[in-house]
Amino acid sequence: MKETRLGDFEETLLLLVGILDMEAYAFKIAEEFESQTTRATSIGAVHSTLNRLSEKGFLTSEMGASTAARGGRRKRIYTITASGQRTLEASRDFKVSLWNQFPAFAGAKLNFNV
Amino acid sequence: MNLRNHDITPPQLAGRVLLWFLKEELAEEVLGDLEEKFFSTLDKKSAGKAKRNYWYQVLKYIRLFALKRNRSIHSNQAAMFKHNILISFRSFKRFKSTFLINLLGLATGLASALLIYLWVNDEMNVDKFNEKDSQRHVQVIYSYPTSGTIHTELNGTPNPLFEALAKEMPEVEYSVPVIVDSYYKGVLSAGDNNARAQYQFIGKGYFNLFPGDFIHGNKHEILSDKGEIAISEKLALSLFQSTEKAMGQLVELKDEGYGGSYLVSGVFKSIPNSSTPSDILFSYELFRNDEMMKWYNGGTQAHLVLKEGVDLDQFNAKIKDFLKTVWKNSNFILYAQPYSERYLYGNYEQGIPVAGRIIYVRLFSIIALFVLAIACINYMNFSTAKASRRIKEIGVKKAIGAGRKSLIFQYFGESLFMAFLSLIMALIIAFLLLPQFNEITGKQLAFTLAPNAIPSIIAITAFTGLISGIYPALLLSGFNPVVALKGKLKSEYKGLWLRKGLVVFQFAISVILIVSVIVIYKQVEFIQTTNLGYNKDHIIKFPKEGKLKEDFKPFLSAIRNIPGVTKASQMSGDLPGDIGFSQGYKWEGMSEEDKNLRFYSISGGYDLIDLLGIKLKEGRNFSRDFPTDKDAYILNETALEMTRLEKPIGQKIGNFNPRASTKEVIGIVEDFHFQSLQEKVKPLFFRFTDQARKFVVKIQAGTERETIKRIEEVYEALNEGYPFEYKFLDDDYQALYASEQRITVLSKYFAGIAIAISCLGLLALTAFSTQRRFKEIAIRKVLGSTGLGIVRLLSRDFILLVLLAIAIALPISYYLMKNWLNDFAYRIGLDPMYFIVAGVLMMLVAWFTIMTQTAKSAKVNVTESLRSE
Repeated sequence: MKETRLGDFEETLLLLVGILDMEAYAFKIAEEFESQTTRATSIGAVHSTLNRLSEKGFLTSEMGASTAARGGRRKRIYTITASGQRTLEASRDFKVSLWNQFPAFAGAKLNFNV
Repeated sequence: MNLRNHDITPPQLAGRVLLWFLKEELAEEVLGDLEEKFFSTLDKKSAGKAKRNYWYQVLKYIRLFALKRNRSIHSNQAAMFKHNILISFRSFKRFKSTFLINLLGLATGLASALLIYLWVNDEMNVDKFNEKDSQRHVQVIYSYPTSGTIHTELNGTPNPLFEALAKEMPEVEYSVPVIVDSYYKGVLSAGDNNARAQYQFIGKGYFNLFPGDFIHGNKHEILSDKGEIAISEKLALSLFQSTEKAMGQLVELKDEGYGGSYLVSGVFKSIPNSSTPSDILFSYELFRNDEMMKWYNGGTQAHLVLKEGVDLDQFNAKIKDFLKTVWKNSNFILYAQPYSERYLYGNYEQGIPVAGRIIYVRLFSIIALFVLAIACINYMNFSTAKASRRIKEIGVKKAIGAGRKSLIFQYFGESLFMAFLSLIMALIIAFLLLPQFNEITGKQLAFTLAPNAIPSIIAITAFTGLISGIYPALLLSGFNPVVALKGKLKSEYKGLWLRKGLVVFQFAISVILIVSVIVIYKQVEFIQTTNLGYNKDHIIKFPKEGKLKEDFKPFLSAIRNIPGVTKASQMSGDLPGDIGFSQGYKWEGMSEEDKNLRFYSISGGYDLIDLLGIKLKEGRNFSRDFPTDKDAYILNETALEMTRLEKPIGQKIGNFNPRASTKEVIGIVEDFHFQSLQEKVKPLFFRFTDQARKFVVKIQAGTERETIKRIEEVYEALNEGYPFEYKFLDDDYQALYASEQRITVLSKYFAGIAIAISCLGLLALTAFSTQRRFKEIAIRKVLGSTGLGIVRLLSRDFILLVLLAIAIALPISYYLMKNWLNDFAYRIGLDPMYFIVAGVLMMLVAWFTIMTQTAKSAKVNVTESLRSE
């Protein structure tokens, strides 16, 4: 059984795949990552992570259409699987539950005099 | 998208690199992504940035998931490779002692070779410079016949020669005059700071030939004016405490010929790997004047830069007699030698350079090869000996279908692996021993793995591995599998003979080395202790300069009053070695040939001959009672012999030079070795002078320290502004034989190493062969053989081998040593004892080595060894 937890980078990419939907292929995802996070990355790093997420069963992919900008080459479009979606939700729920346990934030009111 | 410039495409090479390592099934999508990235970058940024980014993206694809899988991982070859390594490790583990001895032997051999390599490399690079014109740089030397031989001079062709050659010879592009001589020494002062310094004169273009590392000032522009000088970093620091402060300062040189004020216009770092170090550089123009540029004045080295493609031999044929065409009365023969060869080819025969220090370089290269060879032989012997234990392994492999090639590959692999393992050990050993090695060789070798050294070291190691593996690899792979499995091998006899041959070879080399060490040691000892005819001990010398130059009498009488001073006088020249000479003397009864007789001369004060402990044979010493002694000679025996004067005392010796006065012979002294013992004693005379260049003081043995201190006090009180710097006469003598002494020490160590490695080999070999004969030994014991009988049986073979080696080695070593001794005019005879000692020593060491093993096996437990099987 493969490791099924998500790292930070993995989680972000998984979300980006969801956001980009039909445009979710390595180059676009890398661009989107850089513009949303203002952190630099390389296509290779993104591709590697996408590959890993596929192996974990969170993503599936198939070859899509080609465009002139790619010299007529096809691109690999990634889609989130049901298990990917569940893992994302679980990750979010887990964090929310952690947030709720943090008394200072849970009450939405900061009281330092207690 | 229409705006896109179609001329710009992603870098093709990057694409190719990507395809080379990328999994094929990923190629399409990745290339597509990268191209999209490229053009999107191109829209925003420059073409260069886009290309660089493309490369970046390609390199970032070097990730495990994207790489092509190595399809051969599961192939037959790879499996064999893994298997071979495993087998090697198992056999190392099983024969631990053999393995360790092997490793240690190879590592020691390699470490010796590495150290020698460092030394040789350093020697080869002395005076090899990489300046603009260094490759075409030759120095003109000259020779002339005298006293029946041909004498060659390096330092100082006639002064105008460099200019004349540049003008007359079309082959010469330009020439550079240089004057270097230990004579040019003065005291440089700035304010209250004084420092003694060696100076030299250099002409324009000097730094096209010689390296110069200037901290301040431009080396191609300095010394344009006669009043400018450049000083070394060391000198600048001692005078000004900083190199920066020295620049543009006026300094004062206290010196006879070139004293005065000079402007510091450059500060340079001393040059490593140069045989002529100096502290001050002057312009040659300072030296030049009308008188100096006459043909009969010499001292200038003529450095020429030849044009591209000039044939040196032809050029030399052309300049050979050049001097005779421009200067009548000259019998000088010229020869142009590439400057870089001066250091290694510094001996001259008939005016032509022959091997000098290169002999030592070759000698040690050969020793390194020998030591390596011995270590390799050990490995070969072990592997072939061990092979009999691995015959079954080979048989099984062959039966399964292993090709000969793969077996050869396995054994070469094993020996290469051993070699590189030893290299690691050797590097550690060499690194640890380097400080001691530097001390012995008098060098500052650093263990910097220079880029050019790494390939050579790897090459040496690979070579060692291949050579030591070649025999086992070829022999073992050739076994017939059926015979091999039966465990009976006829071909083993062949191997046995070769193994024996190799052992003989090893020990022969060791014996040769032992003999060499003994002979070299004895010769050096002979030189050290031989009666030189003068007493060099407890004598110090220091320059006579400043006020003391003229006003030396009070100083001399003051130091004579110091209790520890036995005698004090003055002299010119240096013992041994630096003694002036001249020719052109005439006397009654001389022949035409005698005109060429060269006389060496030492001039000094009244007490000099006594002070040096030279024995007077006839006549009398210089004396204050005879004012005419200013025009008198005291000859040595050789001079007497050469001049064939019958009743020498009172004879007159004149000179063809009309300005020189005729002198009277007042005494004869016994011959003494005023030069190296490699030279025969030459004709010499003493002359009286009170204008000598230095003081010599004989000190009572045991009181050196306090006496020198008191001399220093007197000196400094009477001679302000001149630092007191003295040297022992003995030092120069030691320096003269420094190279022989280094050779002695080094050869001693390397001979020791060679013997040790040989014995290691013998040790392992006896251990091995006795182990194989355990059953035989046990049966013999059962049948009543004594322990001693068994030891004798087991040792006999090896002892015979060593005896054979000694028999072969002794004549060879005799021949080699005779050749070496021929270089010395005064040498030891080759005493038979040396050879006997070497032979017996080798025998004893070998015998002892064998004994440790055989004695052990003689005590073998009979039941234990017969029970198995």
